[in-house]
Amino acid sequence: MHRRIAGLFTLALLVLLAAWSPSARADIPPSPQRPADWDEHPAPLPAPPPEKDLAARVVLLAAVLSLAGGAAVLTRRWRARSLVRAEHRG
Amino acid sequence: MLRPGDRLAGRFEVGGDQQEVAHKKAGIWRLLRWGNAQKPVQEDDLWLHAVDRQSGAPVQIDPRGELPSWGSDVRTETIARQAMAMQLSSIVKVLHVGPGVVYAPPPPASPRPALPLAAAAECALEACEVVARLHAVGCGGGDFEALYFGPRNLRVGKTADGWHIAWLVPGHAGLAQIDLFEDESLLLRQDKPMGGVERDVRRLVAFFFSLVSAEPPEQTSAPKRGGVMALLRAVFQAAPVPEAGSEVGREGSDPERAAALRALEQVRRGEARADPITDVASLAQLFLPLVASSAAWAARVASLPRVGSLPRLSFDWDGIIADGEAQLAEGPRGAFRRPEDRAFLELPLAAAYHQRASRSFAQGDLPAALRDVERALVLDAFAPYRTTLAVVLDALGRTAEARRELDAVLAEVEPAGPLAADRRVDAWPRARMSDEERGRIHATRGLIALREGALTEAKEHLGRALSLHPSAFHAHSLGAALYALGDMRGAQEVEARSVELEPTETRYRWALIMTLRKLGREDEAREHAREILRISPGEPSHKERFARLFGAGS
Repeated sequence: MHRRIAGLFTLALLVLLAAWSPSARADIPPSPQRPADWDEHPAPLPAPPPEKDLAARVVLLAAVLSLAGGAAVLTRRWRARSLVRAEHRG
Repeated sequence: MLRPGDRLAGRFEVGGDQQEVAHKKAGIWRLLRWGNAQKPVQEDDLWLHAVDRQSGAPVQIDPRGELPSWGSDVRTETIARQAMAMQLSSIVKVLHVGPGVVYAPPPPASPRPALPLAAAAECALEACEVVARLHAVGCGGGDFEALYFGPRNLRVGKTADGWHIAWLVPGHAGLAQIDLFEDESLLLRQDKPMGGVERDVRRLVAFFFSLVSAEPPEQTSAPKRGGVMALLRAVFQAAPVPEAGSEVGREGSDPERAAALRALEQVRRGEARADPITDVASLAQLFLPLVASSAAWAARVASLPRVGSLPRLSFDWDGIIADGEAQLAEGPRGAFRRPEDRAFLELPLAAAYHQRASRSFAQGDLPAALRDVERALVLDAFAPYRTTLAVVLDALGRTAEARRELDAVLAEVEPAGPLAADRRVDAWPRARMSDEERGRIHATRGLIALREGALTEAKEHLGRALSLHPSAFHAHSLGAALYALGDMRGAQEVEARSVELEPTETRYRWALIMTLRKLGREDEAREHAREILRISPGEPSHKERFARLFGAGS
């Protein structure tokens, strides 16, 4: 009986000692944190919207180019057809 | 961790145990409050002593702490490199940086002496010189910014040619805590919000007043802190003998010195002044009438940089990242062996990767930015890093991936709250995602929608971005969406705001001009265009645009 009590007492003492033993963990911040002052470079921003008159000019240029392209294709086809017709006639 | 007999950088043979010093430094507050009263904390316990094998001289190392302090340790080392480069005689010589900081032995720390006015002013001028140069590189300004004003860090001692300071820069945090424990007045009381420069100005003035005494140092047994009346008496009754030919000896110099002291007293009390002291170089001017050799000091003071607001400290991100990766590869150690302890290293390391990615993006190196932000996200899936990933992907033309990333981020952070997605970080305010960051997510998503022609969606996101963070860029972007939707009045309002916020950004002003013209407000538009020509007169594209819109003769 006495031995059991002594054993329990020793065990409790060991648990208490383990809980009490000073640890470096006691002095650390509660959880990891991101550094608050590492802001040498600002975070990247998206590209700004296109400038308005430049955007209009780009649209206009695209329209002109596509019209010119279309006209060139039509001309080429018309020429090809003319050649075919001329060959048939010939 | 260094043990007795180890060599740091192959040069400094260590005589102590780094772990023991780190442990004592981390628990200094505990030692101070509940330590053995018979054996108070000794300064020596907080240094790692070593011998320089090159010179045979003793040196003192302020070693790195345990894993959780890695982020602050590399910041301290960054400041140490700046201090090393300055080569000022009033800074204790830094012999080596990384890991930890190796100093030449400083003179012994002692309580503040009571000095004659001129000697105190010279010490204050030396301190001003150090702080002004540190401010120019972004150091200083806070209570715990590696610049400490207590007697164990900012030491004052007598040499053959008079009284001088010997300042530990970067300061020793453990020594600063002992100083603070002994004298709480070192912690600056803030009766109003103060910028970093103003705080250091106040601290420098407090340092000066802690040195001056109404009596000569031989007659005082303890440091005295007299008021301004005692100081004025000192000036008029017991003024030190001026040097021959110096300005102090001229007629009418005493009223000048009295005026300087009154001005310093005003700064100490934080009173409003007609010409406020906005930088340390201006403060140094106030000390000039008080020193004996003011002509020699005037040239030194004139060369000090005038820094009204602190620039950002410049870090060596490549070095920090290499160091962090090496620490990660080394694995768990010391008291920090739990798997989750890796976050103490991973979170700051991810921040370093994100900083380097931001720098690469600004320099136009998009592949490097992508690599770094992807590594940052492996270490820490923080929402702002994901926004950066989306911005980089969008810039690389991978818009669909960018849109998917942003939608995923938005689903996490809105409306449940910024911390919902991040359980590794506690609710410490600095760890929260700022409104600015949340605004950046919406701005990026809105601008993608604008480019893709989803105008209503663009308007919603850009409006939210502006409400979260009212920046000129966000106002300008929302203006573009409203303009595209045909809401000219709405566009004009927010574009006017963007011009108000950043009046020198010509891009924003041109956008406003186009909207004003659509509204038929030609005169206002022309006035803004003229303002652009005034802001950047040498820019031919503005002249060409002005002529195209308003005619060459306008």
